[in-house]
This record gives sequence, C-alpha cells and structure tokens, in this order.
Amino acid sequence: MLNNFENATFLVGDKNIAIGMVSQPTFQPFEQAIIDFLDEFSRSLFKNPVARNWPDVIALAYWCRKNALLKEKGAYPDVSRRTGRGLAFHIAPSNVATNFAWSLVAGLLSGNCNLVRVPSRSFPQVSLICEELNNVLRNRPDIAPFLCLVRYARESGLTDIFSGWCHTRLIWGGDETISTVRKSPIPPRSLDLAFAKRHSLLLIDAGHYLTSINKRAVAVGFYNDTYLMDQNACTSPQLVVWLGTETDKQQARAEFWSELENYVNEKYQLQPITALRKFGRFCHHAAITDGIKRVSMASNLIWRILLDKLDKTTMMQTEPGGYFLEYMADDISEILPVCGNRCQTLALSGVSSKK
Amino acid sequence: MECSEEMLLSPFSLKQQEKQKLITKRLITLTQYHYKNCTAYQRIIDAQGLNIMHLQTLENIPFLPVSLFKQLDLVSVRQEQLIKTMTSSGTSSQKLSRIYLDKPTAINQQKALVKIVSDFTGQARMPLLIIDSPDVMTNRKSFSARGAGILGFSLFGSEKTWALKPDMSLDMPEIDSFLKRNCGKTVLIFGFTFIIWQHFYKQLVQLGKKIDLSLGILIHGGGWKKLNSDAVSAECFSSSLKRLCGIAKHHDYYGMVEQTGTIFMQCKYGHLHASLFSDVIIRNHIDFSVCRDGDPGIIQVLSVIPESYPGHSLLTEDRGIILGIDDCPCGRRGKYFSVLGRVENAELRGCSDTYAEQF
Repeated sequence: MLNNFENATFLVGDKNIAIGMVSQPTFQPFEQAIIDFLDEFSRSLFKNPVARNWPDVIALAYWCRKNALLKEKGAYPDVSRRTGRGLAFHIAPSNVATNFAWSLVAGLLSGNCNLVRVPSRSFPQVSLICEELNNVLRNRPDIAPFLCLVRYARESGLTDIFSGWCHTRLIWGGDETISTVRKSPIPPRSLDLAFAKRHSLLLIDAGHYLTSINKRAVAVGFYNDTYLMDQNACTSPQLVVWLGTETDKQQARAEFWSELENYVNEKYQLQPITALRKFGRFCHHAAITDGIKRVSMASNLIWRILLDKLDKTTMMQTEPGGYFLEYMADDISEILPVCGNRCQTLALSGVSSKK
Repeated sequence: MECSEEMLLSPFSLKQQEKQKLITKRLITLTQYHYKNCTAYQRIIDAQGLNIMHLQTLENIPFLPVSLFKQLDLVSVRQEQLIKTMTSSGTSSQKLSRIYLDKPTAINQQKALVKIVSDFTGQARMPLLIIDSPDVMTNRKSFSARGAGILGFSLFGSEKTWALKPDMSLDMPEIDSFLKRNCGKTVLIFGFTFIIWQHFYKQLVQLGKKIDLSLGILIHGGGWKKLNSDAVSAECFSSSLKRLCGIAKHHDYYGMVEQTGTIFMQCKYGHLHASLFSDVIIRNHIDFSVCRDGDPGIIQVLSVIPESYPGHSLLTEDRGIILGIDDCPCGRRGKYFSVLGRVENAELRGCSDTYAEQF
C-alpha cells in the first residue's frame, strides 16, 4: 500500500510525517504555539520580496498576524475545553491559487493535524507559500508533525488512502470533484465537509450608478471580483441585475460595460480554451432556451447574455472567464428564483440592503 | 438541395475561388435548411442576432462549437428518417458526441470518402488489412468513430482481414495468411494512429517479427496527442514503420465523427488537403475573426454533406495553420493546411486519443 507514495511529491513534510499523523494527538483551538507559528509565517512572507507581487499572498500574510488571529479568537466563545477532531484531509481546488493555504490555516487553528492536497497546476503562489512554511518549520520542529502538503495525480490511489485515515475531509471543488472524492470511503466516525459550487450575483441601481463620479473605479472593482480570478471564485458575480427606470438602465449598462471593456482590454489575457468554452456555453444555453440574446459585440473578452426572465435554471448556465448573464428587473423581488441555497453572495451597488 | 455537383467533379480539381463559389452556395442552402428544420439551431442563430437570409460569403456562414454534439441531440429530420447513430469513441467518464444520420447523409458520406481517398490510392479496390479488432463493429446501428472509420474504409477493400484479436493482441496467423495470399499485390492498410503504434508496431517489435508490407499503402487517422506525449513524432512513426514493414506510402488524415466522410488527407508532402466537399478556415480566438493565411488559430471545418444534423459548419477545439492555396507541389488545388494540436486544456477528443487514455 505504501508503495503509492512514490507518486506523491511532498512540498512540506514527508512520508513519515504523513503516516504519523494517523495517531498524532489533537490540540486546543487557537493553541498558543500555532498562533506563534502562524505569526512567524506571516512575518517571513512579508519579508519575502517576491510576495509583494501577489496580492492574494499578502492578504494571507495579513490575516496570519498574531494580532489578527487573537482578534479572530475573540470572536469565538470560550474554546479552552474543546479540541480538534484529529487528522484533517484537505482537497484544495485547482482554480484558486491560495485556497489550500486558507484551508490549512483553518485546520491548524481548529486544533487538527493537516494533510493538504495542493492543486496540480503549478501556481507561483503555491511554491512561494511552501517555501516560507518550510523556512519557519526549520526552527519549529514541534509544529512539523501537524502539517503535510502533498501533490499527486488523481489516479494514484492516494485519495483512497488518505480518506481511509482521516477524521475530517474537506473537499473544495465542483460537484463532479465532490462526487468523485466521495467514492473513496472515510471511516464511520469521520466527517465530510464539502464546499460545493456556488454562485453570486450583482444588483445595481442604474440611477445610483449614473451619479457615481469615478466609473473607472467601479469597473476596476468589478474586474477584481471577476476577471482577476477568471470569475472562478464563489463570490464572483455571474449574473448582473439592473434596477431603475428604463432610460437609466439603458444608459447605465452602456457606460458600465464600456468602462469594463476598456479595463479588460488592458489587463486580461484571454486563453483560447476560455473563448471556446464561453462560446460553447452560450450555444448550449441558447439551444435549450427561448428568448436569450447575446448583447456583447464580437470580442470574446466579455460575453454578455441578456435574459428575458430569471428562474431556477438560470444559474446553471454560467461560465468562468468573463461570461455575464444580464437581466433588467422591474422589481427586486424578481431575483428570488436565483437566490436558492447555492447562492453565496449578493453584491449591491446603490441598492439599500434593507430592500 | 443536393450536393450532386460536387460529386461529379474530381475532388481536388477546382481552384479555391471556383470551389468556394460552389460550396458557399451549398453551405448557405444547408444553413437555411437547418434553421428551418432544427429548433435548437434556429435558437442559436437568433440568439446571436444573425440574419441568415442574406448570407453571401463562406466566412459569414455561422458555426457551432463541436462540443455541442456532446451535450445535445441535434437533428434536422423527422425521427423515422434516421437510420443510424454515430458516436465519438470514449471512456465512460467522457461525454460522447452523438450524430444522427438519415439515408442521404449516410450515402453522401460514403460517396465523398470514396472520391477523396481514391484520389490518393487509385480507383481499384485492394485487399485491406485493418489494424484493429473485429469487436469494434459489433453493433450495426450504432457506430463509434473507430467503427465508422473502419466501415468507411472497408469500401476500398476487395477482401478484409483484421490484424488484431479482441484482446488487441496481434493475430499473427491471420496476418501471415493475408501476406501469403496477397504476395506481390498492392494492399491497403487502415487503422487509427495510436492503435497502429501501440498494438501493431510495438507488438511486432516485441515479437522480433519483421513483415513485408512494402507494397502497402497505409492510411491512418485519429489524434497524435498520446503519441506525442510518448515522444513519438510523425517522422518517428513513419520511419519506424518503414524499417519494420517496409511501408513507404502512408497518409495521415484529419477528420471527425461530426463530419464523417469529408476527411482531409495528407499528400506526400505532408500537407492536409481540403477537397471539394469541405473547407477549413482558421480563426483568431480573440473575436473569432479569420486569421491571415499563415497565422495559427482555431480550426473551423465546413462540409457540404450533413443534412440530417446541423454539422455543416463547426468550430473545432484544434489549432491549425493554412500552408497555402492552389499551389501544393502534389498538384491538388484548394487550401492545404497543417494541424498543430489541440487547444490547450480542451477535453480529450478524437477516436484513438480516448482509447489512449487507458494507457
């Protein structure tokens, strides 16, 4: 069975640490030693000149500072009589570079041992984070038994082995990944935590948008929520809903999308496969639905699809990489069908949250 | 609505300009036909705000993504007119393309294939050695891409011999008796590139056998992805087979189950040629505009055959480049091109590529 480790690359930790994790004792949430360790990790990230190029790495470093962690601890009731569940096996998503690290940090802070499968795609952020973890661990042998970061091919059978060991399994990914991983059994007393595909939408009050002075800044903000992560983050809006009078909606849409287009043309590198997938998504959606219209121009950088209604199938027709469903609502209540249990974030612009 | 005009001409005889006039007319007719007869197609055209009543140029003929045939059953004739279904070969984890054929479409596919291939092999039928196992052909109503390819090329065989057993091992007695029977005759050898390499070439090497196919013409198709990842280039493929069996004449072809029949055959200069029945356009991924000749891009394929399903104009997931028009030294007119591989990260597709996943 252990022969399978030949196919695994340990970025942090090694085979023996991984095997030892099965019987490693757990510890308290927000354990002082862990907080100190993460604080050192945070400082070494800040010191790394390369890290400055990666806003997502800096965000992680910022969150791992001692003060930030103590503040976070304060948000919980007394946890001193609680303990971690044991070995947490994390399957990180392949599309968001730093997600594995956030999952790891959460696992450590909640008092668990952590075996993390990192994305197969070689993000520079992954090597950067692992490098600094290893740097800090060199002086912290007490923490080393609690984390292993490993990369392996899906077919290697290691998911079976690690699943068989773990007390908690965290699955990040699409519905397909989740159902594939669930084919590997976990022990009877173990828990599965699946972070499944979610969707988000943006609600804009057209009249309010038209009064905003810096429309470029709105476009940049929207770009950062969407294109920056290829629209793959759960919080990236896939649907934009407009409220307001007919004339305001028309004018606001024209300005909003043209500002975005300018910025996207400057910043975004469109991959051929993304262009094909967006076109494919559109054709599939159009083939099975009456009354949708492509309203964007010939460029494949921004695809906009105007819908004539919202229903519970609407959010099944999303696509990453700059593909936006658009809807002009007369009343805010029209968004109810797209606010089911998969809806993660409703971003607002000029719409009072009381509505 | 027939493609009879194309059928009468020699498939590589017209210059691009004349050919384009001929096929554009037919492709516009097909576009309007499918618009009228396939709801899904009509919705896709309408949702893009396209007006297909005033189409004039080849470039403006709308295209569908080839992936759509994996997601939907697209048909432009009544259910009872369908006579067979073709699927892309695939493992269970992949979605298969499903292509529905009526009689005219199925017949025209065969006619086109015969005209194209005869231009390379000559008119006469020849003894045919199929580098595959007869198990591929078990169901006569439903064909995988592999089965469809074999069925198509069977038309050129005066007799048919299978080189592999159901477990994909070499059937040496069959091969030996084929060689003995046809000693001194020109023979045709057909198979999928990966299967030829994995199950024919490699097993012969393992057995230490050399066979004499020096009078053979090898035609092979299907993807190169798996071979290339094993560091087997096209040159290596052909020189290895030449060394082992003396095969001097071989033609790779580019084709897909969504446009069966109208394959693009490679001439002796290594160029893929578009016949009178089909054409290629290379498009830029930024806005799908047409690339300048010589610039690489995404391959669009057009075929005058598909009547029972809206597959006459498809945007593939392959990258290619136009090498020239009307001036290939082999003498064939029209566009000639080269396939550069798949658009990175696209789902595996193509007959022997899917099979290759198991290795």
